[in-house]
Amino acid sequence: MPRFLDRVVSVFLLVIPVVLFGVTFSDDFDVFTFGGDVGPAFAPRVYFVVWFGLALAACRLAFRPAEDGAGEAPEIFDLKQLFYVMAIAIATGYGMITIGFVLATIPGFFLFCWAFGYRKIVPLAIISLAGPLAIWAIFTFGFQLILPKSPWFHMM
Amino acid sequence: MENLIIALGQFATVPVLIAIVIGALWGTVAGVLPGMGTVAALIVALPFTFSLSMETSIGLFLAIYVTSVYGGSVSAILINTPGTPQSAATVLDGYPMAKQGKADLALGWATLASLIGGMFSLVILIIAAPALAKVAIAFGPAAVFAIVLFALTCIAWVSRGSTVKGLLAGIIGLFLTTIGSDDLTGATRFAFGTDLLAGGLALIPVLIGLFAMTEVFFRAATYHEEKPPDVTNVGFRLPALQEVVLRWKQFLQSCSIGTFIGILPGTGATAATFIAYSELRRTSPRAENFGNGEPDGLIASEASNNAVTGGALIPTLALGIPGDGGTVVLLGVLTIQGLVPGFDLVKNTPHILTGAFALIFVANLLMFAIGAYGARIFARILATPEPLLMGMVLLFSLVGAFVVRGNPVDILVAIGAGLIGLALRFAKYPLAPIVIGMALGKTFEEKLRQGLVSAEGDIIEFLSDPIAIGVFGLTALVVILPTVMRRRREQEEG
Repeated sequence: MPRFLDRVVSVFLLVIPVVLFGVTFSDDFDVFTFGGDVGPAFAPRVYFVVWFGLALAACRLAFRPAEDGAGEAPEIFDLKQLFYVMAIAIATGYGMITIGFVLATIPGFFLFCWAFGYRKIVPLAIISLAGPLAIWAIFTFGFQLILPKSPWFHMM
Repeated sequence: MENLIIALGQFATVPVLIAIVIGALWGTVAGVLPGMGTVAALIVALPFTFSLSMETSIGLFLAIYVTSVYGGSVSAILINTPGTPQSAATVLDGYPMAKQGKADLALGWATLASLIGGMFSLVILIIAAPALAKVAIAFGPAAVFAIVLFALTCIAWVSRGSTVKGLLAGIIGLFLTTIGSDDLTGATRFAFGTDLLAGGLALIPVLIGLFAMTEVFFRAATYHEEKPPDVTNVGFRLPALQEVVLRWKQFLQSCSIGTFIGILPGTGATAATFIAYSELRRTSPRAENFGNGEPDGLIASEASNNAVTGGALIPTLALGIPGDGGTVVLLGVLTIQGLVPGFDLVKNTPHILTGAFALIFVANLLMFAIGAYGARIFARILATPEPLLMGMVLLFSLVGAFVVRGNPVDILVAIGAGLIGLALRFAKYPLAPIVIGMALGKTFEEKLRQGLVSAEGDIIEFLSDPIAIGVFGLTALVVILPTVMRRRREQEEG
């Protein structure tokens, strides 16, 4: 998988600067400059040219035939576990914005740890409840920093 | 002396002392736990900086920064797993010593070497940082531009894995700073008509995503439940004084290597430990014992990795140029607190710099005390289940991303950066050059354009600054020299 991903990432990184270089010719960059200033498009264009050259070199390396399987790391990744953990992390982050920190993170923390492989349900339930509530209380009352609030409750 | 008195008046307060104790405890514990590391430890504490005073924040973060490097040695010695990458070389002699039933003595050597390394680099920091900052006043836009280019080249060049990928990551970091409003013309760049990008990307959420979230996801992909490590013989015993005095040369060598490598942007403590280890294995009179529990091996690793902390702070505090993820976070904290590292810090608020030195001194002493009295507690901490630990890192990362600007969008930015970081990590792209590119990108572009304006658009005149020419030459050397040396070695080997 690392070699396949290396190829995908390298190709992706080769395409991005080409597209973004084109963007620098849009109206957004067409502003008046004075006194020798090179304008807002200059630095990005330089970056994209260098970026493209380096991405080309990275692509060449990624597509070079492997010597006797070199570069092909053994499959040690648990992709199913990774997928669940990522999905829960995204849902928890999005939930924080929409339903507030406390309501999103209590189930989010529980599911995250469960998906990660922790199976002691009673301690997990206690920590899932106590952890987010403690963080919320510390920030709200201790540091007076308001974390994302739920649309249904005044405080949390 | 006057600065020291003012600094003590400002920093020797109860909240600062509490912060530094908490920071030292948390830093050590985070170092002990494999998977946390210095950057994650700093990120977890990041949300707190917004409600702490400047002095308390500096105390908290410097203490975490200094002590987390040491913490990694504890797990390296006790369970043969370095808590941080910086302690990887500690395993080589620390664990064999523990297997011989001398874990207490191994912890004693590691703690003492860490203290000496930290204090040595602090002395160099006290001498070098103000001097370098005073020299920096002579730097014009072209010189600053050249120095930033040099730093970025060094960082990418010494990154783990492919140099091409390191340079590419640095360029991506530079590009990310161009998103949003252009400071000189007000033009909105690469926002694609969305409010999400019009305000630009804040460094901290991206850093949280790339370091903390990526680590969480990576650990999820590789985690398999294991029974807690079996830790025995835990205690703390200092070596005899004559044993320490006998090894003064090894201490000096390791501290010097660590401090020097710390000053170089991007090289970092991991490289320092292996360079010091191989150097001492070459020069030590007890070289044949290396790998079998030789204290010189522990000195090489622990004195050098702690000496890096002071060295890395020299360019960070004097020039505002961070060398690794940890110093990027420290720079971020200083900026949040309204401080501008560099000449302004030295000239306008020298007592703050003096205060920071005093805090590092106290943090090193605390590290020693925690090491001496906390050995048995560390053994229990090592049994913390990884899923719970990573869950907490996730929660603090989300909170940290949000509180930077109070903008919910930053939560999504952090998660997005985490996912991108994971793909890049699987494809073996180093992540540190991205954040360092982001930390330096604004200055890089600003100085380039300022210089060109003052040279009325004449690029030759802009680049004819003598300091800039010297630094460009150095940059070229950094790029060319390793390639030439490799080619020559290949030719010699036929």
